Amino acid sequence: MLGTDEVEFLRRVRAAIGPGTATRAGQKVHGQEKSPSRVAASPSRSQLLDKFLIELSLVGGKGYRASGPRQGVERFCAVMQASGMKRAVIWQHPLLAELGLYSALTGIGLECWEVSEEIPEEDRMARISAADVGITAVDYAVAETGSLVLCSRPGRARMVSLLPPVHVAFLAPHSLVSSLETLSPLLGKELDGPCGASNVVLITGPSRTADIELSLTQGVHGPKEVHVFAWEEEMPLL
Amino acid sequence: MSQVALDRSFEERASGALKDLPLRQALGIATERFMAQRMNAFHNLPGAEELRQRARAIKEDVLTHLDDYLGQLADSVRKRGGVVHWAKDGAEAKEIVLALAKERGVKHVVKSKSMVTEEIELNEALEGAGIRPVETDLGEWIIQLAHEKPSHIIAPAIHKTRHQVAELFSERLNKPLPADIEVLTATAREQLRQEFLQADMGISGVNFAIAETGTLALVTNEGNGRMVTSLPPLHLAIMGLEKVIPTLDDLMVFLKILARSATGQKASTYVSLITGVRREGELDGPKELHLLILDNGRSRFLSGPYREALYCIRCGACLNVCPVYRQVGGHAYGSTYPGPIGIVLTAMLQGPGGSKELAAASSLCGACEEACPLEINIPHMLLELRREAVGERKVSAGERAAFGVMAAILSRPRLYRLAGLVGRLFQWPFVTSGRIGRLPFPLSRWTLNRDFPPLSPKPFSARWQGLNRNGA
Repeated sequence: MLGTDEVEFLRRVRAAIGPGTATRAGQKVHGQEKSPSRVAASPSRSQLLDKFLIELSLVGGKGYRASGPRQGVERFCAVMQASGMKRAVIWQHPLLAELGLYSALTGIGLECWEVSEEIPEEDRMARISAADVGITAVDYAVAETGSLVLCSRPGRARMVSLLPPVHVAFLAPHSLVSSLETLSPLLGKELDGPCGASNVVLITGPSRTADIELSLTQGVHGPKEVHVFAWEEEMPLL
Repeated sequence: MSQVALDRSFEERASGALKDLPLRQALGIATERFMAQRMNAFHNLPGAEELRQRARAIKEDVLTHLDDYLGQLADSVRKRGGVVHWAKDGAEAKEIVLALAKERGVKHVVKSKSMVTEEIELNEALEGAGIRPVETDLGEWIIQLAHEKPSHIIAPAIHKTRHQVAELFSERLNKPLPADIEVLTATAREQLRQEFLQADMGISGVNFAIAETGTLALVTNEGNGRMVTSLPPLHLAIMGLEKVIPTLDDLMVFLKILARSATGQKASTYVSLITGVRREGELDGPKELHLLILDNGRSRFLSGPYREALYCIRCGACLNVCPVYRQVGGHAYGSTYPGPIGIVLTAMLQGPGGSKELAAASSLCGACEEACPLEINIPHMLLELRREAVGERKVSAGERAAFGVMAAILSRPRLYRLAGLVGRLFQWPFVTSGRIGRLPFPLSRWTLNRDFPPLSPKPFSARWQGLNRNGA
């Protein structure tokens, strides 16, 4: 193999650090810093959702607060119809299936494709790229930053939330967490083990750039619009 | 206009930049806005200082046990199906990348913004081997089309106006485009989308690498980072060895301060956490993942006065507040990393004496240290670099003699008062509009690049006594 041998590389690093140190790795940081600095009463689900929707709007996303899943789907269909979109790609996901989104979309005249392995990968990506809207669920949502957290899994192509110009996400109430700190242990579990997600993405608002004259522009490579449909109470659909 | 020209000295490059009015205007607007956004973001963050201290403690722990953490990272990455490479310098790194590309028959590479690949000049090496690298960050793409170098760590094309970008795109893409940022951005989206879908290899940097899980964290706003690391069948990530952090908890600390320090965001738009290769049944993502860990002078700084430079998370905050950077911009530094931390990093990359000229390109005002989310003591390091330059006799005999005289005067009160008196009496022929712009040889070397304020008719010590008497 080209380059420097691992053992040799690490030996040089060790030598450069200098004489041995008293602390074990991690000891200093995790020993003293773990004490919680502020203990606040944990916010209710409703407060978390409020906070999430405010933060989402601050980063240019659009949130819809429904009374329950059924109203969420109704509002979603109304938005889709008004937008004049024609082609949708959608994840294979239990929540989306339970919401009956595929039939709801075809019912209002959209051409809808549930991503799957049936067609070769190159065509798959081209098809996702050609869609007007990509529809996903979320694994978590972070209230303090307005971020959506999506984990890669079979049937849940990463590119559905990225290539189409519009991303629509459905947020079930149990997925909301308050902060990045609370998210961290949950992510640890998602990544763990041989079946852990190979890719997790935190999405905070639409794709943006300010590379020309520091002027904010949305939708440079990823979606120009991010719509999130959320509701507070877990309710059976029927 | 703002090409990097290494055959000229910093002084020459800087005075060129000072005459470039559009550049100074662009810099003024951009750095001003960056500063306001950062201050606003930290102002609204409870426990910000605690967070900075926590980040420092994590970095200190990492550097103290760097070999352990790097070993753990490599094991974790391999456990998830990745391959790890080690390179002691840029030459080795390029050899590894080219060999891999050749083996896989790669013709077409897409890249997401990576300063470490700029550092080792990877694009030039790829082109030399007949491989086409395409930068996909909008700013990086602009400077790639213009054959320039980045002028800011996080906003590479900060020195260009929309008119210049429109002109550039029109010429390179062979169609007239208006100086409208929306249109220019849409053009980039369309052009680069095809590149993403065709590429055989994606090359990215790494913002943070988590030793415990083998996760590579990549932070972007445009989404190009996600495409580069998901669409091509092969992903190569290149990181400086200091980018390793212990755990996911630690990542959250750095994500919070990086986004705020760089662009004033609470969170960057996309944070990708890449843990190994695509799993069975997943519909996209690379089937092959390579991580290249690069030293390139970094380990030299592990002990000694520049150690804290390895805390740097490349947020660019110190550039925006630096009175020198704000006037001359990134290209005047003539190095990959501009600005205050850039001077120190240049010394790291080039070895002893590598940035002796640049060490003087600072007012030592301390704004960089204050802005740095890790509170890196940059002014101290710049002083140390200057001290080294003097110690190595890289300073002329004349300058040393002049400072010897200065030291003698400053340490003897009576001599100091006498010198002040002489100065006040004889300075008048040199004062024009309240400034001394030119002095006779040998002092003309000093006034060549700076104006000197004339000595006040009444010395400070005399005024101070007056103020005291009035009880002010």
